[in-house]
Amino acid sequence: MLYQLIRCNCPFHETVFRVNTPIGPSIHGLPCRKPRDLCRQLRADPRNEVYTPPQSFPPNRTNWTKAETTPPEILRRHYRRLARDIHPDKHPDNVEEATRRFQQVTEAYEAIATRLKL
Amino acid sequence: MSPSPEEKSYAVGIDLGTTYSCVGVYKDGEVQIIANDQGNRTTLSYVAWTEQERLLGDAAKNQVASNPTNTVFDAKRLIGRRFDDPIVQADLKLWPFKVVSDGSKDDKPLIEVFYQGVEKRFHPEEISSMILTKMKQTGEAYLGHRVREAVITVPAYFNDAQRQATKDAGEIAGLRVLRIVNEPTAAAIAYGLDKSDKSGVAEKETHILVFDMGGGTFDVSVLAIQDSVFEVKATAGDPHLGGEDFDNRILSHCIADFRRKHQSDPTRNQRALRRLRTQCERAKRLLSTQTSVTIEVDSLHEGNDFSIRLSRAKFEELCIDYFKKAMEPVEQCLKDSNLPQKAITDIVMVGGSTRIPKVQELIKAFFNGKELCKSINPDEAVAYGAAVQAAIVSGQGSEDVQNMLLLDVAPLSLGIETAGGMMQVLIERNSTVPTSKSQDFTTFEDYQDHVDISVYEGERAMVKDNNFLGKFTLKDIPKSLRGVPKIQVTFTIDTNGILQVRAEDAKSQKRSEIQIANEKGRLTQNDIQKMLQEAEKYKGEDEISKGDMLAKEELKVYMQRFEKGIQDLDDTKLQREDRERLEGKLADAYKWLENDGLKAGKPEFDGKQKELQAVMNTVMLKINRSQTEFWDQQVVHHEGEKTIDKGGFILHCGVDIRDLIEDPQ
Repeated sequence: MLYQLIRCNCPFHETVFRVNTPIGPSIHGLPCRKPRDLCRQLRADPRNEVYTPPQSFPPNRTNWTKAETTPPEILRRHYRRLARDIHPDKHPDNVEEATRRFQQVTEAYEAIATRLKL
Repeated sequence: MSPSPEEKSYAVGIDLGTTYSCVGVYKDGEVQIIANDQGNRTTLSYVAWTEQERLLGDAAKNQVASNPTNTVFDAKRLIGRRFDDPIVQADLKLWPFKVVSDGSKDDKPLIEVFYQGVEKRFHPEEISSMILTKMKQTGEAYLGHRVREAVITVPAYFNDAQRQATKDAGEIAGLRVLRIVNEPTAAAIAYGLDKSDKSGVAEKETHILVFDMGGGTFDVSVLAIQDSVFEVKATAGDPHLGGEDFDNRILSHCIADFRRKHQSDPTRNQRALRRLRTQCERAKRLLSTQTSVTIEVDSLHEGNDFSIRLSRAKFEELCIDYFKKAMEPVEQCLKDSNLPQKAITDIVMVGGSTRIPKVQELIKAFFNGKELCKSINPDEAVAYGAAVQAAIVSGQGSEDVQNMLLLDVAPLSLGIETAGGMMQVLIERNSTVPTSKSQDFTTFEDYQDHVDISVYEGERAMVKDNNFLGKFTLKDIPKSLRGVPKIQVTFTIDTNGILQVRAEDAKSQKRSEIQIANEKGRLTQNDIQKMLQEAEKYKGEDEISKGDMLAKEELKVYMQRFEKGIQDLDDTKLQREDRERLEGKLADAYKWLENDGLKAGKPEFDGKQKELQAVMNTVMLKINRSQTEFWDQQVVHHEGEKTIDKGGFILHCGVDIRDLIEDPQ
């Protein structure tokens, strides 16, 4: 069975989702101008899984061109919403994994923030 | 017995303050700040030992003038510090109770008190745990359920050791510490909830500055709030600046004045100092609303009365360097958060000392006359926020609360010592927690088989200027030339802001983890267990002594009734020898109460009361039966017995004899 792999192409959140649900073209075709919409929508559906990429695929590579063209307030807001979803406080049953994810995202965000002087 | 259904338990938020503590709980969709048994919503952080019992909170402070050396306060200023810490040494001179070093290499401070004639020594963690126990009981009394979990707040600028020690104190009090939260962050939640009630959920990003000046500590934090996420941008402060320091200034001003007027020095007279300090504190509070106040203490020292008029201007003059010092962290915080002054939408004032007009004036001037936010209660905001955080972490509370998130930061940079005594920072200050940072290091000499790793916190370039946290050794590194081994050092800060350090040799996979616990004067798990048992014992002792007191009071009341009873009976009824016997018994009892009664417990008091009752009863019986013949009594008695002989079970008085002699079926 083939799954569609969709990579959220927002700057500091390159999660790859294994999408088990049909996704309409309106989301599929969109560039990630409002990244949280795609991420949230994908995450919201329990049928989708977060795809653990093979080694060759860096798990958290920052997309600098994307970051530089995104307005800072959107970056900040997206980071906060993301933090709210993945913070270990919200995943008491899986603290370790959540902490790891949260640290990755925060590290990426801090890198961007320092570089772009947010 | 059937097993009881899972007991409902609440998680509370406790603001463990230097001078006052406060407890709150999230219940039925809102936060309740809980009043203690005296009806106060904040409880004094005092513990006292008297001849008979241990006192906590307000009761301890009320007797401080008569028992200054056994009344302990300010434990928060000792917690997590070494005895030789200059701050501790300076504070020592102002405290009436005795603090000694434990003599070990950790140089932990111990508080020494006299309790029931025995010298006892306590760790500051134990004192704090007693206050936490009191807060826990306050919560339990209100909720009617056990309280097992709590969120405890600490000043944002507390270092690793102080946080650890506070967490230990919670454990000694029998609480599972869900989280250690920074006080200004907790206050920001209270502010945020207050705001979102008024204007819906804040979608727009707002920046606030929390100015938290309490009894002993001072913090400033800058936060960004958006979509119910509270992100701490930067934090700064002084863990030793607050209302007590202002009290001390007024106190030394008064002492100087007393010396000048009476040519005598009251500084060795602890009782006088305590009484004067209480008045100074009162004066400081009054000066927030009045422009001048009189400090008066009758017969302060060597029979001399003391009276001085203190104006607000004079008070400000005495403390102006403290006030000015408090503005530095504000500046620092804005700089760290990369925000211009005008980006701050609100300045939230928390803590009792922010009521001082001069403090308000200075911060207002700093922000070019911006109005300060005073809509939240400065004494309760921290406990309020802690209660909300407790609900978030324990999964209680409404959806609104569940949606909230706190992103806190580490207040100090953390790093290790490298060649030449330099500080190599791994985690920079104001990094969002939880965080984890790794860096590779290597050996300095050929064939080096172990490395010492010393961990420090602080902002200075040289480690000797920073605060030492602990040291550990990574052993058995495979022998090789210098610069070849790769040693990865990882610093991890958890959501409580508590640090863990790990070192790993890449080649041999040898690992070593620091136990800052043992190195940095922290209590070991064993210590905690021991203290936990001791605390349990104390709890028992408290209850026993409470029962003792009650029994003693009952006995006293009975003896008064007894005495009155004898007086009321005239000689026609009461024969002379009976009267003498009763009076003799009473006198004996009074004598017993004065001598042995001091050490006696509930059973002894109850026994004594029974003894008196028995004597009284026989005499009363005699009086009431004085008309009837002696033999009549015997017959009555006999008839009672006869009923049983006939095979009946019911006595004359209607008591079924089987109830008395047989086990219930």
